[in-house]
Amino acid sequence: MERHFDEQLADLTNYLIKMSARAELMISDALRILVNRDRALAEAVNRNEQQVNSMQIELDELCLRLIATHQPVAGDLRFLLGSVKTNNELERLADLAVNISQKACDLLHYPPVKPFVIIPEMATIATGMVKDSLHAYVNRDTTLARHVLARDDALDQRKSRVTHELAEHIRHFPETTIAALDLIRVAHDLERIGDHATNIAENTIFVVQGKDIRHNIETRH
Amino acid sequence: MHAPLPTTDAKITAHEFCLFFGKIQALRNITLDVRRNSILGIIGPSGSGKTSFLRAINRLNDLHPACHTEGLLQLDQTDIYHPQCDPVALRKRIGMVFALPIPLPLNIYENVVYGPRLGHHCPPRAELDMLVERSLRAAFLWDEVKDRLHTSGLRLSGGQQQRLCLARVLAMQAEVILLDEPCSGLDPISTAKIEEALTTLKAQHTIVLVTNNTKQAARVADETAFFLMGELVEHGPTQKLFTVPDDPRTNDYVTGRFG
Repeated sequence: MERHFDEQLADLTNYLIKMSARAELMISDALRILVNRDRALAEAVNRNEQQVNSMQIELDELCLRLIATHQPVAGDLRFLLGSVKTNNELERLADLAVNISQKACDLLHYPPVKPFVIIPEMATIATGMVKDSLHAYVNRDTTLARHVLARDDALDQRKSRVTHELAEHIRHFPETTIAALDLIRVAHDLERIGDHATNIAENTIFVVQGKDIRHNIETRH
Repeated sequence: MHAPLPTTDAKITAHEFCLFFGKIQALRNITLDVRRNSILGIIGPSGSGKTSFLRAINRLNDLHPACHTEGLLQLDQTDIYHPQCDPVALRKRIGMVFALPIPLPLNIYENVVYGPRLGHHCPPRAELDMLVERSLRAAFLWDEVKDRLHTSGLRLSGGQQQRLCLARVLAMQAEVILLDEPCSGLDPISTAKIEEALTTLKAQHTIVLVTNNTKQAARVADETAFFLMGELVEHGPTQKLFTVPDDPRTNDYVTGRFG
């Protein structure tokens, strides 16, 4: 039986897709500032962050309204709770994009520390995880969600390598300390982006299967 | 043929229980336990067999001439359908509240004491007074009627009449209370009072509640059973059934996709 409620849930899904698209755009713009050393996109990143903040509040209100008026249970309840949590993850992703954008702008005051290799790799992995996690969430695809979870380790390893290499660099070229520390923070932010994508993937598994796999209570892979 | 289940905590046990009305099979191989001092909620669409199962527990279906059963249905490990089981004695132990409240055309006091007075030894007046107060208090009705116990039960509101029917069952000191859609015609306040009463009463009784209001089962039942077309689809802790049901048909029913 078709329910009016299903239409409202579809609206909610579309809203999440729009919000995610904006957060993904912010992350890619922030990385472009970093790689191309061009601050032109910084304003767009800040503008989009305000949009994402407004969307977060609207989406929370929508979820609250649907919970209050429909008193959902079972799969519907899990989807609404999962959406409230995914909403928060998307807002945090946007915040991290702003962090990266600000550090990328700061770095423009210094000569390039060294050629980027690992950070662009991290960016590719992190943005892929974000895109796939949201795709998994809206399509209720647990296989894809588990692929997202599996990629988190690769991101963590690269972050450790970047930190180690830049620490070495600081030791040999102390005059680059401030810029190198900014890059370490960018790597940290990319790793955090992966963590938020992982949370969305975990939400997907909770929504579809009712299993809470956070904190390795159940097998993630 | 059907060995009793080795459960100690079960007040009611159904094992491969089937119910027929002539050639029509109303229940198919129902196996479940109702835990002592708990509330079992039974949900399911019309024609799913939930009321037939409820009425099987105190043998009300026997009134149908072509009714027969297979399998096992036990109260305290004793077969309810054993030829030596006296349905009248059984119904004293298993009281029932129906969807439509049916007060007797007597005053409130007499409604409550009607059952106990039918017994072999009618209790003395002082004892009956205590029984009336205790039963009406347990049914969350005492405060509303204590000053007019001798007015007709028919003059009470629908919600009050339903609680009077509950008090009548309690006065018989039934061990099990069966309720068939007890709040179907009641306003939210009356419904809340019945639900409060049930939640308190389970300390002394075992309760089986058939309801078309799935949210009511979610609110008050410790365990919930979902019936569909005479079969038990799923039975388990209420919290699980309403958050992560095992069967997709349960999910579809509790989320209102069919019914």
